[in-house]
Amino acid sequence: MTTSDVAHATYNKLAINRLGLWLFIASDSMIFIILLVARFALFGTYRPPELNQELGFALTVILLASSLTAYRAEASIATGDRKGLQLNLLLTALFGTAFLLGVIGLEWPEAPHVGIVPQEGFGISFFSMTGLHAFHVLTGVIMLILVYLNARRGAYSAESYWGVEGTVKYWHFVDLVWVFFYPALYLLK
Amino acid sequence: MDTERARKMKIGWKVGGALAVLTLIEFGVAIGVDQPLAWLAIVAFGKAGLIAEYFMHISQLWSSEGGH
Repeated sequence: MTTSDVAHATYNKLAINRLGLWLFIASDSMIFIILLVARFALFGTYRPPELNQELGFALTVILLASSLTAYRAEASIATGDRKGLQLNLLLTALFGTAFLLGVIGLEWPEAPHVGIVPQEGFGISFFSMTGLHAFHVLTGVIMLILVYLNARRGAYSAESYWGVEGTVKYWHFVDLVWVFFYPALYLLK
Repeated sequence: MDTERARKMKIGWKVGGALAVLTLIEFGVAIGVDQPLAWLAIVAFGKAGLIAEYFMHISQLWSSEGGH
């Protein structure tokens, strides 16, 4: 086997990994699309005016910032910067944790006080959409921490970093879902 | 390698900035427009396109760029 054959086989493996992850993302998107369609089918463009607009906006900014640090983590290892990778992975996990705390620790306890409850009305869509999304954020944070621990052990280099790339892609997917959920839950009227 | 790193980081800041501006626009649209659904959808698809192309590198699926 020549060096060219090895490079070709390695590239094919990466291409297959990428395709597999995109197929997973496409299939996972279906449940989010169903929730989004159900929200519009059940409630049209109605949104309870009592929903905390400022908190929704703050959560969106936090998730947006996490996407930038996730991008920087991947860009860092792609150019051999291991310190940059570790720092940005940690920042992304921190932003993700802040988002989770904002949803579960602030938004969820506050919503029932303004009449948005999980059992009825708009609350059914609100809690199922934010709940499923928060679960994805949680799994993303866990993966980011695992990749960070691997990075600290020197597991990734500019020549081989699929673990970083796959996790970062998944994190961007979580952000992508929020791009549609945020206006659907907080901004319509 | 340093030039490549600087180029990638610059792209990250530009796309992050564009996403921040679009988020502000959609917040403004929600406050200022009576029927904001169509505008919000346009902005959301714009943001999604930026994330898919520049952050998730979706075009790598049909090109050989970005190998490692």
